[in-house]
Amino acid sequence: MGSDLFEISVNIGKMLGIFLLMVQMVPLLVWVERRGSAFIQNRFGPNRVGPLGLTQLLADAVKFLFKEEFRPPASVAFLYYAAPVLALIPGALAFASIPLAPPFEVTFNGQTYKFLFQVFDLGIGIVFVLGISSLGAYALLFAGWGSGNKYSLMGALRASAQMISYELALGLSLVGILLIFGTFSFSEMVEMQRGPLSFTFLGQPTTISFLPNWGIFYQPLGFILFFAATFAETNRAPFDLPEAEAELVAGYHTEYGGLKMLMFYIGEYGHMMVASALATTFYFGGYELPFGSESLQQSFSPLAYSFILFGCFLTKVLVFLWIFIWVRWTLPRFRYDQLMDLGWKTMLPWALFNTVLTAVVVVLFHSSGS
Amino acid sequence: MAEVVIFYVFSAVTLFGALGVILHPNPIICALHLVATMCGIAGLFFGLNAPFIAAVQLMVYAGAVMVLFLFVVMIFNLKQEGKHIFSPGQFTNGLKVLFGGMFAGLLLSSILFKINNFGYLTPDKAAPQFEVKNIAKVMFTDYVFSFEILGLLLLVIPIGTVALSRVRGGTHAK
Amino acid sequence: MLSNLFSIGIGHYLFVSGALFVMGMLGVLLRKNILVILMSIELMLNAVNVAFVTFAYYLNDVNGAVIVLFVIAIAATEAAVGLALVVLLYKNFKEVNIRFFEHLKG
Repeated sequence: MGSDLFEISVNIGKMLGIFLLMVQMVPLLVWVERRGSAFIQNRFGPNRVGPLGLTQLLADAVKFLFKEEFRPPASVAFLYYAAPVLALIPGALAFASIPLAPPFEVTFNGQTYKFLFQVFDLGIGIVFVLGISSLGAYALLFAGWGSGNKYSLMGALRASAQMISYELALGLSLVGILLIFGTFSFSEMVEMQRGPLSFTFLGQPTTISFLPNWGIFYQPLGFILFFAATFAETNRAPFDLPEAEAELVAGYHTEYGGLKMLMFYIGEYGHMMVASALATTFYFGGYELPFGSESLQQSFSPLAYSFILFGCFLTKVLVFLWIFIWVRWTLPRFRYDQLMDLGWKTMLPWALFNTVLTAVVVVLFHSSGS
Repeated sequence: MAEVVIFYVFSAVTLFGALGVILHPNPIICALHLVATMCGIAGLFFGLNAPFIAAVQLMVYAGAVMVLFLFVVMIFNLKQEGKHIFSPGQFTNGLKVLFGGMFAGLLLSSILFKINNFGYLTPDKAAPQFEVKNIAKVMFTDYVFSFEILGLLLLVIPIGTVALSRVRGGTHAK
Repeated sequence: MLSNLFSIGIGHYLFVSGALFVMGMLGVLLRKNILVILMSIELMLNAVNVAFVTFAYYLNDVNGAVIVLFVIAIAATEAAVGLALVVLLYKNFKEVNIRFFEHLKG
C-alpha cells in the first residue's frame, strides 16, 4: 500500500478516483451509445431532455435509483445480491493497475514521493489483469444461478463457456507482445513504445521516422486477435450471446432491475474500458504521444506534461470505446456454434501461429541482444 | 504488521472456504466455497512475496478450473443431497472420522510444536526467488525435460477429454 | 506461544497448508458426491502448493516456485479429465453418488 501514512492515503484516494472515473464514464458512454446507434440507424435517439439529450442521463439515473426493490421468490438471496457488486470489482481493480500518465515527483513534508498515475504498479501487470478479469465470469454465474430462472441460468452458462474459450485466444495473442517487449510491466511497456519506430533488422539498427514505435507495427495479427477476443470477453455484440434477447429474454440479468441492473451496466462498460485501455497500452503506445513529446516535455512543467499525456491516453481509449459501440450497431449477432467454432477453430490456431512466428522473428532479428 | 493482517485474513478465508467445501450439502455452494478458498490461497501467495504465482493461481484455478466445476454442477442442476451428505454406515464412517482426526492431529500438532525450531529460517525479502525471469531460467534449464513432458500432457489431455465427451448429433451433426 | 501469533513465520503457513490438506483428505474419504470428491482433491493439491511456496520463500530457493507452476498445470488438466468423466457418468446413470458405483456392475 505504501511506506507511510501520506502514501497510503494518497493511494486510497487514487483508488477512489479510478473507481469514480469508471463509474462517471458510464452515463456518458450510454449517451454516446444511444445517440451513436441512432446516428448509425438513421434515427434521432434521445434528444428531448436538455441540450442534445444530455440530461437524459440524469433522468435515467433518477429512474434507476427509484425503482422498486424486488427479489424473485425462487432466488438465492446471497448470490442474487452479490452478483451486481462482483460485476464491478474486477473492472475497477484491473483499471487501477494500468498507467494513465507518466509519473512525476511530489515533495511533501520534506520527503520526495514519486506520484504514479496508477494505483499500484505491479511488476506482473499483464498476468494480474488476466487473473482479475477472469473473475468476471463469477458475476454472471452468480446472477444466473442466484436468480432461480431458467433463462438467466442459460445465459450465465453461455457466458462462462464463452469467456473460458476466448480467454485462451486472448492470452495467446498477448504472448506475441510479451516476446517483443520482454516484460510483464505496463509502465516498462509504455516506456519502450516512445519515439519513432526503430528495430534491429538483420543486425542493422533501422529507424523509420514517420511511424511511432507502437506495438501494432510489430504485432498486427496479434492486435486483431486480441481485439476480437476482447469483444467476446466483454460479452458485447457481435458476441453478446449471453443476453441474446430473442432467445433468452435478457440473459443473466433478466431478474434484475433498478440499481442492481445499473451495476451490471457499469460492470459491462467497465470491462469495455479495461479492454480499450489494454489495447491502447499494448498496441498503441499507452499514454505516449506519437510525435513531438520531447519538445512538449521541455516547454511544460512535469505536472502539466503528465496531464497532457493523460488526455492523450483518454483520447485513445475513447476512440476504442467508439469502435466498440460502432461494431455493436453494425454487425449481426453470431449463432452459438459459430461463436465456439470461431474461438476454438479459427482464433486459437491463428494465435498459436502468431506466437510461433513472433518467436522465430525475435530469435532471427534480436539474436545479438542479451 | 501488514504481513500479519494479510496472513490472518487470507488464511481465515482459505480455511472457512475449505470447511464449507467438505461440510455443505449442496454441491453448488461447495464449489462457491472452493472459489473463496482459491482466492484466499492466492492472497497467501501474495503474502509470501510471490505475486506472479498468486496471479497464476487466480487465473488458472479461480478463473478456469472453478468456472468449469460450476458449469458442470449447474448443468446437472443437482438438488440438495439431504441429511446424509457422508457415506452411510455408522461404523465405517466413525472409523474414517477417527482416522482422519488422528492424522489431522498428528500433522497439525507436529507443526505446532516444532514452530520454534524453524525460527532460524529468516526469508530474504529482497531475494529474487519469485521473479518471473528467475523462475523461467530454472524452468527452461533444470526442468526443461519436465516442461516438455508437461507440453505433451497438455496435448494428450484435451484429445482424451474431447474423445470422452463426444456426442453424436447436436448442432455439429453431419 | 502468544508472541508467535503476531510474528508470522514458516510454521503459520505450514499449519494452514496442513489444515487444508487434512480437510481435503476428509472430504475425499467422507463425502459421497463425486464432484465434491474432485473438489477435495483440488484442495489437497492446493495445500501442497502452499507448502511449496512457503518453503521456497523461507529457504530462498526458486525450485519450489517452479514446481508449483507444474502442479497448477497438472491439477488443471486433472480437473478437466475428471469433470469429463463425471459428465459421462452422469449422462449414463443420472447419478453422482459414489456409493452407486461401488459394485462396478455397469
